[in-house]
Amino acid sequence: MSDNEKDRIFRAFDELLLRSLRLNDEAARAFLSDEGIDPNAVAEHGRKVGKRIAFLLKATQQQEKDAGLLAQALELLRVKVAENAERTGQVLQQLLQARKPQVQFRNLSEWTDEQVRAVLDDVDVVELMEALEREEGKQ
Amino acid sequence: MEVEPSIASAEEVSELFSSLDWDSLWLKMVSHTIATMRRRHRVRGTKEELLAHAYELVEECVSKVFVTKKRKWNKAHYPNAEDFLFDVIASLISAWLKSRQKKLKVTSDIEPEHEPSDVSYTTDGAVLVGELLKEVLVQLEAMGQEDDEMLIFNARVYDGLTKPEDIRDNIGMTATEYHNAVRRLDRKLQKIRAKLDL
Repeated sequence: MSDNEKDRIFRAFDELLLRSLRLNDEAARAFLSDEGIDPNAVAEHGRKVGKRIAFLLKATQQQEKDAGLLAQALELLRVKVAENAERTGQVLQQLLQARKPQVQFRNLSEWTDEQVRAVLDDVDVVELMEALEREEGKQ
Repeated sequence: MEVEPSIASAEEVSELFSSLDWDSLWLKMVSHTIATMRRRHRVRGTKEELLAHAYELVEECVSKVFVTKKRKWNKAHYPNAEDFLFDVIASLISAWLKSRQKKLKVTSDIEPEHEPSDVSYTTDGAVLVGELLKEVLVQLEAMGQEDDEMLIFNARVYDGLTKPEDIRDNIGMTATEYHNAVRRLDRKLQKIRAKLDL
């Protein structure tokens, strides 16, 4: 009989220990202490990781939200350009005035999505959508 | 019958993170990772090395589940989200071992997550296993094993019980009593294992 086969007795109890560690944080703390590792230091490190993950999670959610808003703005702009390219261009230009007064453009209907996206980077997309909706109300 | 997968949405994954008892989960995941490396895969290394690797792996696990969402939580398969996280970490440990096998001294083959085979006393090796078992029992007695430790030992070896809840039900222990007794029994068994050079 090989050592590996004999070892099965001990392995069976290793699995019991592993299950305890999954289920019980006191068992986890005690195991770490037995291994010569300070459980308080591990817990402290964990809090830092938890904060980092929470921050990254929030940033990812914001990114996803921004991407969703940009897609909505792009779609609305496309519709408005099809309805009235000149007036839509004016609305967009008004919003850009504050940040980029030198920007002038025409023929919005001929712009590619990339060109529109580049301009939208300099605009508050929520404000733009509200302005476009207001224009619709006026008509 | 196979259950239809039910992949959690980004919102559900975020809610899961907010609802976790993070401090407790972190301790359980780090200790479980170190124990898996040491016990299941027989990884050798200093405690500092193993702890550093455990940190990396647990962080990779939570990042893949909660931030990049590369590992999708199938709620139908894992009604308990912690089971999912522990399975993700197990697969990351296996992948890590495969990629670093040459760097670290791994003394046994990498085995996938599995239920340990039950110890069998009816094979040709019965007498030898029986002798080994006798030896383990003698040593446990010499170390002054307590009743609850012995009850767990018997439930595992003679009754073939593997699940903590089954063992606890069988011998009527609270969860805390059970986990404490398993830990004490484990310390003793590790000493015996080292003595027997297994």
